[in-house]
Amino acid sequence: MSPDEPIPSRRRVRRPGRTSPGRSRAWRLFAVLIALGLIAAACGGSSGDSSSEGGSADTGGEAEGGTGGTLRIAMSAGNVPWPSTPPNEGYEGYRFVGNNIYDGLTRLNLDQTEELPTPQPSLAESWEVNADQTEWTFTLRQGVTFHDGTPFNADAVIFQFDRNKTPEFEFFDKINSARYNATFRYFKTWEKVDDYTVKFTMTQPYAWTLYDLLTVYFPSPTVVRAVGNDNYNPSAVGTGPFKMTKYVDGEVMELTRNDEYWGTKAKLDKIVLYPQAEAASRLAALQSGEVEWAEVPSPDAVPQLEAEGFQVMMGQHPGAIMPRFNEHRAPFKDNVKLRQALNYALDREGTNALMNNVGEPASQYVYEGHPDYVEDNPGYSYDLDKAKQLLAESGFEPGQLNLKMVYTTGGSGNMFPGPMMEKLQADFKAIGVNVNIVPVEWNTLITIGLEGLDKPQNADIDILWASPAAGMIPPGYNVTFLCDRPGPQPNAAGLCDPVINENYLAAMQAATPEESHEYVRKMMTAALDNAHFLFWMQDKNLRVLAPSVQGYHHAQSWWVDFTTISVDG
Amino acid sequence: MLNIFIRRVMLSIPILLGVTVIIFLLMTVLPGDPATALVGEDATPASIARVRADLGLDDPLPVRYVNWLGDTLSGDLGYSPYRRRDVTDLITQAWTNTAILAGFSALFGLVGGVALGFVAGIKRGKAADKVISVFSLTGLSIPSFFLAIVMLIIFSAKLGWLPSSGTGLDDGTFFQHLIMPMVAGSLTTLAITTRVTRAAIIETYGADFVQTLRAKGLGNTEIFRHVFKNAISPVLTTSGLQVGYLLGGAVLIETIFRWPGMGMLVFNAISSRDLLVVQGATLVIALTFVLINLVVDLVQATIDPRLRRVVA
Amino acid sequence: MTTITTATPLGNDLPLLTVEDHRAAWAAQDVGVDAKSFWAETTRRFLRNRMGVFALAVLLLLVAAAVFAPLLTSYDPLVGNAQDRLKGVFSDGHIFGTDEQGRDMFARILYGGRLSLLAAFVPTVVATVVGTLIGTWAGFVRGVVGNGLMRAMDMLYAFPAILLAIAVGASLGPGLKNTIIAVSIVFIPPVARVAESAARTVSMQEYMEAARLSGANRWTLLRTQLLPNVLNQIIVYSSGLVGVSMIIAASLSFLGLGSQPPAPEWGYMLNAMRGSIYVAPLVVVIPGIFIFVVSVAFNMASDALRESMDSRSGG
Repeated sequence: MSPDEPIPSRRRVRRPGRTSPGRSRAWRLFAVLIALGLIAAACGGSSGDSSSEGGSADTGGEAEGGTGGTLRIAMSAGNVPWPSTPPNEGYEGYRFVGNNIYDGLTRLNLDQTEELPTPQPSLAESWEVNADQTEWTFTLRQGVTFHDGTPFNADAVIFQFDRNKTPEFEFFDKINSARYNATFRYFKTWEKVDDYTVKFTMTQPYAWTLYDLLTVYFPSPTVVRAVGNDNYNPSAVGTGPFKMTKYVDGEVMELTRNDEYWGTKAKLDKIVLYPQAEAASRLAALQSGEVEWAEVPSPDAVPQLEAEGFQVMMGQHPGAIMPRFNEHRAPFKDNVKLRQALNYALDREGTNALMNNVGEPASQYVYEGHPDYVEDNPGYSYDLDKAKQLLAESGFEPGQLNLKMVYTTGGSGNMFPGPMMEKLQADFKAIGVNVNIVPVEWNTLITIGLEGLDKPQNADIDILWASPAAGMIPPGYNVTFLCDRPGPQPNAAGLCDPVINENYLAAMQAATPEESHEYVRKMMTAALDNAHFLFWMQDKNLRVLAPSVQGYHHAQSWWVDFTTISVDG
Repeated sequence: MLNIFIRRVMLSIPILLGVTVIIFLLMTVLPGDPATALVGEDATPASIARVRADLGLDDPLPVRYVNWLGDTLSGDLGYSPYRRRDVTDLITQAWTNTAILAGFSALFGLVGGVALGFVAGIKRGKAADKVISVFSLTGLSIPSFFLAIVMLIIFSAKLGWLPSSGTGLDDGTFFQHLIMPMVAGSLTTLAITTRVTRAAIIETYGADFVQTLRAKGLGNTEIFRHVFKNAISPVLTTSGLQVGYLLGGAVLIETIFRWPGMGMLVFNAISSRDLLVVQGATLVIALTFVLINLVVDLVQATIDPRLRRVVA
Repeated sequence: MTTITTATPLGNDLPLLTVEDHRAAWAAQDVGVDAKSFWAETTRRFLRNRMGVFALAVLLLLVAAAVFAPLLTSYDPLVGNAQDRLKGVFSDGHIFGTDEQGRDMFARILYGGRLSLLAAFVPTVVATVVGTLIGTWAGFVRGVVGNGLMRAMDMLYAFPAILLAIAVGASLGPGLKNTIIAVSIVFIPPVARVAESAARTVSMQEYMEAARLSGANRWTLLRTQLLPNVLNQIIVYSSGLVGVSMIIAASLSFLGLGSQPPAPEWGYMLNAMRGSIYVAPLVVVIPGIFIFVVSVAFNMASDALRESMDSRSGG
């Protein structure tokens, strides 16, 4: 792919420029006033302290003589994702750390923006599957070595499976295996056929094995054996396009190009990752030239960033805000009309406007253009009359319903919960439905989702905020849509629709991806017609890059291909 | 003096224990399950149960506390599964960062505050006093995080004079990195020290012995020296508290300027339900606070023997 | 043990007014039993202190503006229009501009004053009452009970206020009500310390001895002699806490633990809009200015009150 190919959603601006003179002057004046205050303070406290320097932060360019430059990134995570298998800090961890240090047997084709990325050969060169898709045989790539020189082979694969699936195994990792549960769910047995062939038996006919294998990363068995699971992170070693050359928990991680990489070698010399949960600080770091890449800036800063020549990236993205109704009990259980009424009452355009249009009104669970998107189904428009009428038909008077909705105050991939919830509350009020909105920490929200809304401590919740990676990989629909979760436990929100179940299970076993998507679309139609979700906003994955960053692809994914990127010296 | 010291250290022990009990209880009533917070939303009940058992979450509360206390007394603060590191290690790293920032902030705030307060005190009622009073009132009334963000946008984003984040300890840009967090973080210390010093100077000036000194015909410089010596006690007391609190970390300043110290460590640990880190860090913060104030009291007792009785 | 008798600042993020207790204590001793004329005298002095009167006037004005908000603006503080978002100050019909939801900032500041002033006052009042009771009792009875009480206070005290507030706030969950509870808890120990040290000083005075010898009942003594005299210092100290309370509430908001939408509250508004500071810096700063003004005014009033109580400061 050429780095200069037009990317549809990329709003590019001519030249790096400054703000308008008037505004800039105002800022300078403001600065002088503040500076006067500071000088006054400094004069008072002159002796012996630190005001001995006058250097500027403009260290700008890279000293290294490498070809691809250094890419410094301000992540929105509160900490450096740990380089474990799997990483933490959500999909940010997979994006920046997991996919760079490690390879899976498969990897998404993230170097294009036209279509939803699908699994491609990676550490596995090829594979075969039996007729009912219960046995998958993978031929491993030969000549691959880990960053520490250990050869990658079938033993390394088996080692990692044992580490996560066999509690009796010496190097079984209790914590990471629990975090990997969903990924390994359908693997029943794993065996070495020869040094470069492994065979997996699945617990049932299963079409999405290649998707699950995307995030089954392989650490060097030599390292795990040497340092153990608890001390693995500081010495993390994989086979990926970048090696971890520095890791200070809480502060920074530095990844250096792996010159011995088996595949297309990366262009960048280095990637430096900084955690910075505060959006204003990320932006300041970008503007002062300390980083070349900032995750999720404040939407209101977008016009200014564009004017200053930064590359503002947005595009179709499998992430969405889709709150779930509590269908364990009244009023939402078996009350389609009420669920529809609330969907018609949502002013999605208005919500988007509050965020400077960095999202997209959601007409369905996935965005338009996604293979699981149902054509010719308009979904729910903003229609107050219809909403009021459906509310009446659902058996409730205006003013009669007082709902409790729980949402999170932060967490990556949650867009902008504060303004969105304020808007939702006002929207529902307009048809006479009162919502008591209750913020919780991200961890608490996850816990509620795990415990389920049928548990006594959560039973008073009517609507639960949800920010799924909607449609990124098909196995991702599993726990949200199916009647039962592993355990077995009921669906956390009580969603149980036979049509959905039937079609999802068929999709899981479909012979071809096309057939699979066809079943999922039937499932989506049922979810849409029965309004099992509050179809609200599609995230466009806002991200800002410095003008010097080249070869970036805003893929339809939460992840990014870093091997194509370079930074102009 | 040694007796006083030992007596005071003994008296601190129940306080430190009490602090850890309070935090332990607060942590156990936090909503959200620690095991779930650790393994995330994809885990199955069986694997969560395994992790729960491993974390000792199934034990009764008193047992958990006593276990922690036993380990701590034997010098082991435990292992944080949320960070996959030893707690001692985590605390050492965070405490070092905090100590560096706190040290400079304290210096800036205390030296500046004493100087400003001294000027205001001896110029009581004059223009200089009024300007300084307004300045210190301002310092007390601005939310530090807001000042931090405004400074960040002006000096870093707009003017590019100062780096926005990080400590700069490993690439020789430490002082550039220090300025903004130090100024924003020491504003309160500066303001409070100014006020205390001013009050103390005014107080001493009004005292009888100054009249006596004057009557004896001592020069202004000599009188200043005496006044200063006598006024230093309340300033020292405030300094102890201020340094103690600065060493507890400043979560907002640390977050905004990515200066990962004790404040961020504790805040993140509370968010992720990382009990051992919260417990260990709390203990260290309280211990630092008590020790600093103990030292200050002893210094005071050395300067002014009359205080010895009180300190004991 | 930690013999810090001067009233003290809280954590670094949380400035507290420092009070020169000993001076106020002398004032109390000078006045002795005759609290009534002391207060009359203090009021007289306060009214002659221009700074104090000015600060008080500003505060009364803000309280009145909050109370009579519906008369001062026709805008609904909760309803906005996305097309009108982030208008600058002095734009058409919006002298303070509009916020990120397109709501009139002037209306939100007025209505927000209700919650913000409440959030500043309530913890101060609660902590003053509880802290005074604990501290006075401890200073009066002393012995094991008194010491025990004060050591318990020391435990809370040896911990930076913001971290304590975070721990309490996180346990209770986000929200203004819980912020108020958290800040109250944080404020109790320092108030108790001031009260204890004052009570100790006062109860050692000769007139207390005399009252005790005359056979006065312990409770009566506490109520009629001790409390009124301790209150002087407490009031000076607590008046300085109001500003701090606002700042802690705003800090908790920054961490997502403070007041929650849609009800306007200054700390929440300041934080909710910080992402818009590029577009409308002046509008974003407005809630900060109000927090600042209230905090300064309370500190000024508190200073003036202390000076008025100090019989030796002349005037």
